[in-house]
Amino acid sequence: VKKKGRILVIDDNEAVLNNVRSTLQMAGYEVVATSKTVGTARHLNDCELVIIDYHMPGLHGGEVLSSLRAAANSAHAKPLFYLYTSDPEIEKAPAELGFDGVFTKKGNRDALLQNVDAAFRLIRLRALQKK
Amino acid sequence: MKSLAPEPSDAGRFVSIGSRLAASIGLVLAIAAIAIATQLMSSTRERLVEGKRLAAEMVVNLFATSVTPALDFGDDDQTREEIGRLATNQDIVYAGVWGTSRSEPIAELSRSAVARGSMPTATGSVVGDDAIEITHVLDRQGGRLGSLRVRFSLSRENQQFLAARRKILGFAVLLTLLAAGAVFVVVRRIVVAPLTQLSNAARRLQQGKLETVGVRANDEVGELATAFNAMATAIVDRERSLADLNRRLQQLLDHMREAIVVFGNEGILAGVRSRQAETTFGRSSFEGLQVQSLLYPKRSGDVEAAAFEEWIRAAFSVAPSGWDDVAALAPTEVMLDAGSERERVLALDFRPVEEGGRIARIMMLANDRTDVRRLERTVKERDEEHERQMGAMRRLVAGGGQLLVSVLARAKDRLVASKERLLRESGPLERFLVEELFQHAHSVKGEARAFDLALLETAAAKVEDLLAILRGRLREGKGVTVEEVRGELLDRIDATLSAVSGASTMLVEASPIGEAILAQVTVQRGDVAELLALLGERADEVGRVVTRIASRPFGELLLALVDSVPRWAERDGKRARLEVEGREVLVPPALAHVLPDVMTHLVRNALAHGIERATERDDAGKPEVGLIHVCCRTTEEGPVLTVDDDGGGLDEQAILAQTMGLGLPNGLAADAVFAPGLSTAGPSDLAGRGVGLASVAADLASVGYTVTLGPSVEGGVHVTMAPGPSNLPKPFSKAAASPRSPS
Repeated sequence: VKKKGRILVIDDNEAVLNNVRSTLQMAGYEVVATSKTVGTARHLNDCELVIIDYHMPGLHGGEVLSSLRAAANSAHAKPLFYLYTSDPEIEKAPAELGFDGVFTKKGNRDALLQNVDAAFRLIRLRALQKK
Repeated sequence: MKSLAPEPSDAGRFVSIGSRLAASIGLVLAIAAIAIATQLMSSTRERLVEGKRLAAEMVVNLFATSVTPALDFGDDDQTREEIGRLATNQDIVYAGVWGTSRSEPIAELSRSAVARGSMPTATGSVVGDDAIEITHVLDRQGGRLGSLRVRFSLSRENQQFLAARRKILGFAVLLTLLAAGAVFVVVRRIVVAPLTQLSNAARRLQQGKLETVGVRANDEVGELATAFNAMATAIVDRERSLADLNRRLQQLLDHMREAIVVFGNEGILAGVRSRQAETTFGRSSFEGLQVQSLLYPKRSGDVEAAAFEEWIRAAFSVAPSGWDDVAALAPTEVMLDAGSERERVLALDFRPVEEGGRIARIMMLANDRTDVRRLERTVKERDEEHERQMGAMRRLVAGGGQLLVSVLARAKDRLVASKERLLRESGPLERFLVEELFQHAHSVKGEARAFDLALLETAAAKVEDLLAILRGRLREGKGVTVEEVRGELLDRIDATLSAVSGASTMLVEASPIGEAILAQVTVQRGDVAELLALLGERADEVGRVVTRIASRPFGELLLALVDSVPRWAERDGKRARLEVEGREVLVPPALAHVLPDVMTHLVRNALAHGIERATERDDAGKPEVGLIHVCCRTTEEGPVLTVDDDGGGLDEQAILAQTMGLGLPNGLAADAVFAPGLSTAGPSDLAGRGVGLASVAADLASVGYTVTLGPSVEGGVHVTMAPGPSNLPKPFSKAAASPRSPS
């Protein structure tokens, strides 16, 4: 079965990872989920969307994003990076941290799926416009 | 719709075409008049000067004739006399006579300071601006006598010329003005007035009023007026036709159940919409708004709104042939007022409106799917609830009930400890406190996950999330006080405690043996049987304990029945459910051995003979779903069991008639039902073979139990099974009932 797209999810909370993985896989996405904040660039291959938690031990989401962006810039296809947080202060300004946007309502499976579907529509539309 | 009216001109102040034409023609006439006047003035002056010159020459010739003798004789006095006569001519401003011997004049006449000049050497005349000078050389045979110069003033001629010039110029100006005025009047009448009429009519046409102009001139303006009238009529006809089409379209839209709006480039909404759109979007005016604001109000930053913005751009930039690719990427559903009482789910569909080979507008059809989604969500929640219960059941079957109970107890302890800790602390939030609370929440969440307790896991994760955020802030050096976060943390901990309580309740509800699950341990059935065989006959405390160990909870014995009752009833065209009370009551091994069969017979009998079909129950004012209530109570003699149904009760006449037909002793119908072979209904899947209740009575009698039957409070049948000797007559004994066969 052709997958709807490949997504990299980075979150230190295993429960969140399991939730996100099962939700997105059931919706037809290919999901790479990791709780590691370093050495994740190798998972970027063919990923069109990256979802990153903010509060994580060691590096916070913005720092993880910086390292991934550097790796993504040399890649063929550049993914969209979205912040996934329930911190109201952080979710106010994803652009300042370098993210393309924020997925709010963390923990709500329906909301996550709607956001991911919309992000992939955005990706497909931009590709269509480039043609 | 965008107005087709021209934008206001920025060409400056309005100037009438008549004025422009009059000014232009006046300018041309003025130039011509000036040219003519100049020519006329020039010739006038020439004529005046030429006349003066001829007269002057005549005067000079006469003077030369009169002065010649005096010069010939060298009579200077006569010469001076002759020149003095010239003084009578007021035009002569200077006259001088020269001899041949001196350079000075012999005689001269000068009215003003006029330069005399040198001796003339030739005859001639010179015309200046102010005067005409004539020189004359006087000769005789053989030599020259002298010469003379006379200068005539042109002041009179110049004055005449100036007067003539004034007249000419005045006439030219007058002529020019008259001509320009005439042109203005004519142009105004034949061009400007009709054009003004056309302009006014066009303005009124713009306001939607049809007005033709009555210009009848047989020229270009007339043709223009005729063309305008034809155009105005065509425009009005087209507008009426468009209005009619719009009205019909609006009627069509109003009859559709979807909320329909139409938008153009950049999502700008047109005025056309269906009546349902006003209800769905809660507004009566749409024109000029952006469709984005209808679907994603106050959500400018989120990904769904961004994707829709991008989609609108793409939709209006592709050719109609590329629509399908874009349409596939349109949002299919949107939730409005999420989380509020007005929450609605709209299914979206987009249709392109083509014009001139491009997508000019897009029609959006929004269908309210709120009820469907709510139903789906309810079903999903029930499915999830069912799944949770199944999970709990699986754990119970696996003997994990006690483990779960201890997990829930530990979770409660951890959460209560967290609350107390939080209430004790104040001032700056210390990192070690966050870590301690985090550890508690993390443990609760992990154990909840291990037992598939999704609600508890989610609640604990919310506590953990908040603590993770706080941990992050502390790590970044941002100060936080306990007071600032205590309220939110306590709320989340309380919610987790509620989830613990809910999990306990769910465990007991899901348990077929009720609260007994909380005290149950798992042992091998064979071991218990062996223990019972060895020690069960003892009359001492050991025997009683062993018997208790071998006893089984009442609910466990009915496990299969609970699920079977609705299915059996359905097969018989009825609806019913089984309600169990006293699931945790322990049933002694002997009774537990016969009870599943006994209860199956009684319940099937209640379904077959007691519970009516739904229509009959409805006519009788009873709930559509029949109820069979089984109960087990502990007494000193042992458990007492009852079965009640809310069906139609015993058909006593039919039972007694059957009793007589079978040659059985006369008695109460309630006792007669236990007679072997008695059945008041034809055989069915449920009952009717006439051995069921006899077998029940016999089975119970074999374990020291008696069964009695009577009317229930609800009007159905009430069956009681209690310890005691059988009260049934001999023919109803176990021997009479055999051979036993399934009913």
